[in-house]
Amino acid sequence: MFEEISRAVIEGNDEECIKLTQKYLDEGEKPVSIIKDGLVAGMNVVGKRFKAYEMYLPEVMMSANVMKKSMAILKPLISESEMPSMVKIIMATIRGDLHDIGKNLVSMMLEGAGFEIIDLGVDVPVDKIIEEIEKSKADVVGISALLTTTMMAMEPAIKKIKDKNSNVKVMVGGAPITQEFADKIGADGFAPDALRAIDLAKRLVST
Amino acid sequence: MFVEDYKLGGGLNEEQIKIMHEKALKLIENVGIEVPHKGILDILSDYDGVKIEKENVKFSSDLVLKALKESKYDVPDYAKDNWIISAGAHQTACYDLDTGKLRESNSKDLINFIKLGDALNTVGSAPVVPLDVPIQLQLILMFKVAYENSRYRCNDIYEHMDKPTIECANYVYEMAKVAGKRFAYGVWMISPRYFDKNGLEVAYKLLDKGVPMWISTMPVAGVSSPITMIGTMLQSMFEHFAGLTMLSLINTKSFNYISPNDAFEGDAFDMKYSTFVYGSVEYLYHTLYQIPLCRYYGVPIMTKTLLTASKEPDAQAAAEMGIHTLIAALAGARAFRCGGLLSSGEIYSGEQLVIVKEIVEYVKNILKKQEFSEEQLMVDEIEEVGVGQSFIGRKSTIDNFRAEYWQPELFIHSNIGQWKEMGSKSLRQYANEKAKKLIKEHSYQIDEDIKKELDKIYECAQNDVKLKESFK
Repeated sequence: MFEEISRAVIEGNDEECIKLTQKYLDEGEKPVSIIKDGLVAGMNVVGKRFKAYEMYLPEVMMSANVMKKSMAILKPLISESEMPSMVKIIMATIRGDLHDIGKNLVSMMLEGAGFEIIDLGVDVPVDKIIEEIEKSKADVVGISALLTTTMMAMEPAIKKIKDKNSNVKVMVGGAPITQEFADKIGADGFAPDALRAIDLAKRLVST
Repeated sequence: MFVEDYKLGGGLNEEQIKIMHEKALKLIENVGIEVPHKGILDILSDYDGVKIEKENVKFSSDLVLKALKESKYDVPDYAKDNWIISAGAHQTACYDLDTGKLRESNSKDLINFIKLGDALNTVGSAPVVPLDVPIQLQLILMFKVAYENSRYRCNDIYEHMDKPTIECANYVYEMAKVAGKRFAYGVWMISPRYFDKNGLEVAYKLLDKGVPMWISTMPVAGVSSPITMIGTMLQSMFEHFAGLTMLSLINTKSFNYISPNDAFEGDAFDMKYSTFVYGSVEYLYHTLYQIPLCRYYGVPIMTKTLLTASKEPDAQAAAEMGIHTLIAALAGARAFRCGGLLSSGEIYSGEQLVIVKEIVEYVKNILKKQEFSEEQLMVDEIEEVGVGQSFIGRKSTIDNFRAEYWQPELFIHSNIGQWKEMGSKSLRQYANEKAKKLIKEHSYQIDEDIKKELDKIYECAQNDVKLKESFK
């Protein structure tokens, strides 16, 4: 029913998407349905195409931005009880590492896929992550490292997080990280790129 | 406004070319070439400025300069202002696309590689020899299959296939006429400074037809020409000019030219393995001499940068071709020959041709015009995007990223995780898959009526005893 909205998201057409969002609202459609069957459905197609290397990163970001703009119209119209519960993910670059391009990309992609992102920035001490988990009741923590020197700090950080919050899932990523390394240090998951981080996050919260 | 084009400095200058030019003219006047053909000698003897002693022929400088001036190059439209890849010729060994094994080439390979070359928009001769058909039919079939399955093959100045007997040449001539393709005959000099008698005989018998003729020679430094590359280039000039002059005097019903495919060729030789070494440093030097000479004499620049001494599509092949092609392109070349060839021309590989296409695209993208403007500087974008924000989702990025970033097809930019997920394939595997896909999906076919005519001509050739005898 909301195929036109999905198409506008896929094509990165913000004007069209906003116009259609408003049109369906005026026609009495439920905001939650517009989100679920229009915007998110569109982003799912974008995700699949990006994963198949048929769409490029800027196009994905454009689609995510389009979704965000329509969400800004829809969100205030949804009552708290109707609001789909959003999975919270804390994102952080490990202590000692100042690189954030990869972490930011993952954050943007996750946000576009409907996750709520709490971005703690770079050079984040593990205690700050633990503090935020308790405060926000986050479901997943994503830790990034670019340097081979800082990636070594991931293992003790994961151990400490797990000791304090055994239910929280930890996913890791970054240029030097491999699946083997992630397994070795006790991470719940590894994704080689931003899009696969979405699949991983979905998998982690469903287990 | 654009950023200044990248160019290669140095090389042969005009003064040095003029010195070589004078010396080549002197060699033609004083030393001459051997023309072992009575009929041609009889024609030449009618001209002033030609001195004949037995089979040795010397031409006056006036005749040489006239021949150079009258030489003509009808570059086809598709080759004008375009980057051109010419692919393969006469290889008798190839890599099997299914098994990966090296083996003799056959008719099926000929069809498949012609289709692949066409799908990749390459020009040139037929890629491989169909060794499964009788020898007298091989070349005729190469032209036939090329005409039937490709748009650019075997029909312009980039074709350089031999026609070893007049019977064979006549069949190719008839097929070209039917298919609306150009027919030309090439005469090869054998260094140092003589002709193959059979080649002259075919040329002599074709004179009445009024077909374009080209001259070529391939002196080998330290073997059939002086050991220095510059000395070899001088001998190459001397032989090309003398041969062209001879053609201009005997083939008066059409035009004549220096074959751009091997213009001012001067080959390198490895004294350790006793082999030709295309793709070597010395051969690259030859290219650097060849380019200004072609430019000076108005010969279309066609460089053999896609050759390699490597036996497989591997790192050596990529390094030799990539460096050679980039340097030639910086020196002004835009047409590159011998795509798909390995082992200095002994082997044909479809995978290699696919990789070659990617290498040339890589070089092309390095040298593409780069705009310098207010729009390109994007000051507004720098101002507007805040600290810690991203340019990725910006409209300016969306609108421009495809033009700013070349997206290679084979040289995949994935990270290790993505690469593993895609099957951990090697470049050669990707090239193999692409080659097979292009062959499978290739759709060009010559008009059905023309194909029937070609079939008839080929059928005649199959039953022609005289043609068979001519190859004995």
